[in-house]
Formats: sequence, C-alpha cells, structure tokens
Amino acid sequence: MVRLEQSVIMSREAQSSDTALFRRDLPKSGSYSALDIGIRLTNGATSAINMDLLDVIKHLSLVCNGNDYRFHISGQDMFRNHWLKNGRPMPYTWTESASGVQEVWFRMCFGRFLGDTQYGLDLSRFNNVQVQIDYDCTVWGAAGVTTFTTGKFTITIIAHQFPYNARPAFRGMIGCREFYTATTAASGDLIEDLPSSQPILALAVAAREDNVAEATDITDITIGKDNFNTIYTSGKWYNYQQMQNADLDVREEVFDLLLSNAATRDCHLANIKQASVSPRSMTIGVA
Amino acid sequence: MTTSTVTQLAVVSTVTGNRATMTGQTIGSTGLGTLTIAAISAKACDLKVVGDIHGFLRFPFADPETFDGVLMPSELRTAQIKLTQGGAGATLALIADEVSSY
Repeated sequence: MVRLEQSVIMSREAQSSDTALFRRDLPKSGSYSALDIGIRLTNGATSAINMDLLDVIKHLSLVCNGNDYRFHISGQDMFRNHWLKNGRPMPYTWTESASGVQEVWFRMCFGRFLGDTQYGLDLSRFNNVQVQIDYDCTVWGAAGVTTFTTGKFTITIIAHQFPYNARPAFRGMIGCREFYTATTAASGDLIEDLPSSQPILALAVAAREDNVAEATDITDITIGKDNFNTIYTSGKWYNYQQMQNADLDVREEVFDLLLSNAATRDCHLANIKQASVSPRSMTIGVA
Repeated sequence: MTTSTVTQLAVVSTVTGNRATMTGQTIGSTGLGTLTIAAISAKACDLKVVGDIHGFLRFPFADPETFDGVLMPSELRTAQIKLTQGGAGATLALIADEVSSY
C-alpha cells in the first residue's frame, strides 16, 4: 500500500467571527483518502460549565462544484457516527477549566479505509471543492468569562493524500449526508423516503434529547421498500442499540469538570453502566 | 496530634439518559477533633462514564470491503424509513452513507 502523505491545509487558524459559515477551497488537484478537521475553542476566563463543543458545530460539509454536498452532517452526529462506525471516537478534550481549550476532531473518510486506492476524493474531477464549517459559538451564550473567549474558535484541516506520483484512479468516493431533520412528536409514525440518487451503504438515525432514557423518543425503526412489503430491517431501538454498541472498542468518555454540589452534566453516552467522579486535589498535613 | 486536612469527595448520585447528577463535599480538619464539611464548589474533578452511544443508531447495508448488499438507486425509488415516535422534543436526523462514481 502506498504511504499516504499528511498535508496540513491550515493549522489552528483562529476565526475572528464567533458565528460564521467558514469556507475553504481545496487545491485544484490531488487525491485525498480523508480529511481530518480539528476544532478548538477556548473557555471563558472563569469557566465553561456543561458547555458542549459539539453544539457549536452546526454542520461540517464538503461541497463540490458549488452545490453538490458530499458531506453534510452536524458536529454531534459526525462525532457519534465515527465512533459507532469505527469503534472509537476521534480525539477530544472536554474541559470546563478557566481558559481551558476544548478540542474535537472529525474525519471525512472518502474511501473504505485510510489508503483505499479504489475510493477517494479526486480533486481534479471538480471545478471546485470546498470545506464548509457552519459554527456558532453563541449557542453557549454571549462571549464572556463563563462561556467562551471571543475570537478563539480555531480550525485545523489536514489531508491524507496520495503522493503526486502515485495517485490512484478512483472508482468513486464515499460521502455522508444528513437528508432529513426534525423534532420528534409525542406519538405517531414518521415515514420518510430515502435519497435515491446514489447507492446507499448505510443509514443512521439520530434522536437526541438530554435527560431522557434511550428508546423513548423513537421506539421502533423499520426500513423497507414498496410500502414496506419488503423489509430490510425492523425492530426496537433498544435492541438495535445493544447490538450495535456491542462491537465498540471504546465505551467510555472522560471530562474535566469544575464541579459544584448537586450539579448535572450531559454526556455523549447513555445507558450508563458506570459513572465515577474523582476530585483532583487533596491536602493532608500533620501539625 | 493535630491535623490540617482538606479533602474533596464527590459521587455520581443519579443518572438519567445521558445526564449525570453529582454531589460533592469538601471535608476539612483544622485541628484535633475539628471537622468541617461544606458543599463542593467549582473544584477540578474528572468524570468518567461508560455506556452506549447516546441517541444514535447506524444500519450498514453493504459489506464494508466489497460493498455487497449496497442499496442501489433502482431499489431506492420506493425505499422508505418508518420511525415510531414515543416522546416529543428529540433532535432527529437521518443520515446516509453514499457512494458516488466519477
């Protein structure tokens, strides 16, 4: 297998706007296996209690020729999708400390795996390929000492690319698109058509609500065709969740807290089997 | 012997869905037989949780290597997903992994 090169397109570039649609054109040629995107945001000078960096990232997108969205997915869902697909999350730092820097990484993988010579992003096939990051730091509240430090949203983009003299002839590329969003209702069946312009490798369903038990908001899922005369899969959320999480290599998440008594924190895990909190300081003296 | 001790103790007291509720106390001893207890306030702590990924399911149709089983556009013309709703207020999204040719 060809050794991939890591090409740093941008490194921790601070954005002057706290709310924006960031756009970066990619080079006109190159064969990418994946793009890694790193996001950092600095806490306020006092703290950032129970502030989720993933909430800030409204969408990560890869847009070809101006309107062809090959990736388009929220930060919350992209973090979870990678974790469930690969068994482990991308690197992250969740911290509430004074002026602490929160960080999370995402990977847009255009092949079946890093270094796939059959599927990847061939930039020369498009007039323009753009990375877009729709972010809004103010979902934490206005910039301040207990939210975030203004002008400290930073972006890193690194391409995993094939060497120029060993560029493969890709058959195609893999993308990941959010095609429907809504807020659940208390009852009733919601039926949606699947997108039909490209072959579908996998479907994901996200139904997130803090402080609510799993399998409450969506109880059953059926995927099929011909008015469900043909069923691809049908079952309960709680059963699917057990099956799909069984293969995870990493089932834990860690946070650095600034903890006060009787406080709550929202995690990216549920069905929590174990939760432990450990204070960092202790002094013992003998006079 | 007199002691000068300050210790924080914290526990996760309840869990609901993805939310952990924690309580904590600062325990101090400033002299022989003197013990002080106060609610913990803005103390650096590590939280570790173990569980399932919150609010997210993924249904692969294709073999990850060969793509056998991929849902082709001819099948997708009438393909649908049905979600039975049981609670209001969740942020819902449907996401597709697609393969496109050049």
